[in-house]
Amino acid sequence: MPAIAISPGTMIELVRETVLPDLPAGFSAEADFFEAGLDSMGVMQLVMYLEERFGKKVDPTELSRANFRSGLAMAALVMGQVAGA
Amino acid sequence: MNIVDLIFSRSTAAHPAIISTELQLSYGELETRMKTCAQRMSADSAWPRKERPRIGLNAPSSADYIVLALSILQQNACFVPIPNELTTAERAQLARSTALDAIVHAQNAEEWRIEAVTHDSPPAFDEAVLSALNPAFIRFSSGTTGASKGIVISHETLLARITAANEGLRIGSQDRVLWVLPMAHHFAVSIVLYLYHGATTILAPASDPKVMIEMMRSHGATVMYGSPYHYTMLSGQPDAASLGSLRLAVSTAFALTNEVAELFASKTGLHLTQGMGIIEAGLPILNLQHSKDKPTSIGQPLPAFEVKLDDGELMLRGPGIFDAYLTPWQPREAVLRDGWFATGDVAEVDTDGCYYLRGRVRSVINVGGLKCFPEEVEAVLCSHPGVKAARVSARAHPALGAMPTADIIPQDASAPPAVIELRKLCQERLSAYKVPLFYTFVTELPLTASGKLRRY
Repeated sequence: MPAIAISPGTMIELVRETVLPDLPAGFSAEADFFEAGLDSMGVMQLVMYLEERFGKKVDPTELSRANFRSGLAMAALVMGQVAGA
Repeated sequence: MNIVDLIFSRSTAAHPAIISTELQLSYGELETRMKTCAQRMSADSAWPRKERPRIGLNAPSSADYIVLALSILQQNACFVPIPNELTTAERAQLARSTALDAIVHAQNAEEWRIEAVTHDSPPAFDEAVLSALNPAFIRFSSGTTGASKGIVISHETLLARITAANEGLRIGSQDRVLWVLPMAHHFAVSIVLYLYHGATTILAPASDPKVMIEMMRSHGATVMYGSPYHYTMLSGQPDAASLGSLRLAVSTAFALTNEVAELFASKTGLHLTQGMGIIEAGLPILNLQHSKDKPTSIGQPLPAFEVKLDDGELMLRGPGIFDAYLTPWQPREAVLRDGWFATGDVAEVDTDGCYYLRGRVRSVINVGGLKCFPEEVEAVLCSHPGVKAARVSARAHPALGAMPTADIIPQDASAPPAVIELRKLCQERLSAYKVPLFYTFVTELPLTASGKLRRY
């Protein structure tokens, strides 16, 4: 079990802490990270943070925009790994 | 002095020079074919009407590649090989930085056309100064510094380095060298060396080990030049054992591993001799003494060379070191320190005086093809008042190969700066791909003997 709960909220917190420091307060679970400034290099960095923090090894085939679009999408990506583990 | 004139003044006309699947040329025939080609080139309306023009050659590796290259060199033009794997943009960059006067696009020595090249701006170097060096080649290293410099090699330097290299290789007219490497990358201290020493070069198709062995056998090859890739491929052939009759098999281009060396030795009974071929100096080090017990070593310096380690970096001194870097222009004297050339390679030496390559001094982090210089990122980190020292290194990434990560010694170990602050500082000052992923606080960083950051 990862030490930190997997939820849209913890994903948004991770994104704010790392690649998008200026993410506004109250950013919703379904709000679009790309519209808030996330780019492909940011996704590449998030891949590494997800592994470190949640033990989620992102497969190169999972590197779609859809999987990183929002807190909800990222939580689903990480939970999929945990559920399948 | 012209190296081509020298080759033919020494050669025996009837002796075989080149053997390929489509063409066999004696030294006499090679000279005739070369002269015919050279005369047609200089008579072509697109051939530059100037002293020592710079001519690019865009041609497939073949017997006629040799004819075309010699034709260019024989006319006192400066020969610039254009590797065929270059993209259109990279070719344009090569043509611009060398201020090429023309490009020969060739299928063979009979079917070719000359493209005159014009440039929007004058060359970045002084053409008269370059011309005064009697330049034969301009070559580009596939170096890790991002911007490749262009390495100028004169006819005199070429002669000095093939003479020095042959004190180790000992190629003579009785030798038949089996050749499988791309000529745009390997030509000077190889094919020119074989021709100068009157040997026969056997050109085998690079991707067909069966034909390689057939040609080796039918033409009685004595020496082979190849990469670990070729030797691995050959080891898998049912009749690999026949390679055991070679007197010398040189492994170059990239590092030879124990596995490949042992595999090849077990199939052929022959031990691969690794050498260190570098564009800036030719072939200064070759593993002639310890190919059997230390196949992963590049060996010991050849008689004409001195080698030393300076803070782990391999330094060379000897004949045939390049004449100048083209862009930015730096003559040899400006690059060497007391005659020593710093290779940029990190090496180790054992008690027998055998050298081993261990990596590069400047470890550029390759982020999906983008170059990240650790020093640049470290300087940004060290600008934070809470940071005493920093070391940026590569962390493996599943999609990009690598991304940077940072180890940091804080000014105050009990109150290190906030990671989010360091990351924000880097995000403000650096391209996104250079921003370190992780910030680990440490009490010390690995250093070299002289106190510089160890980067390997």
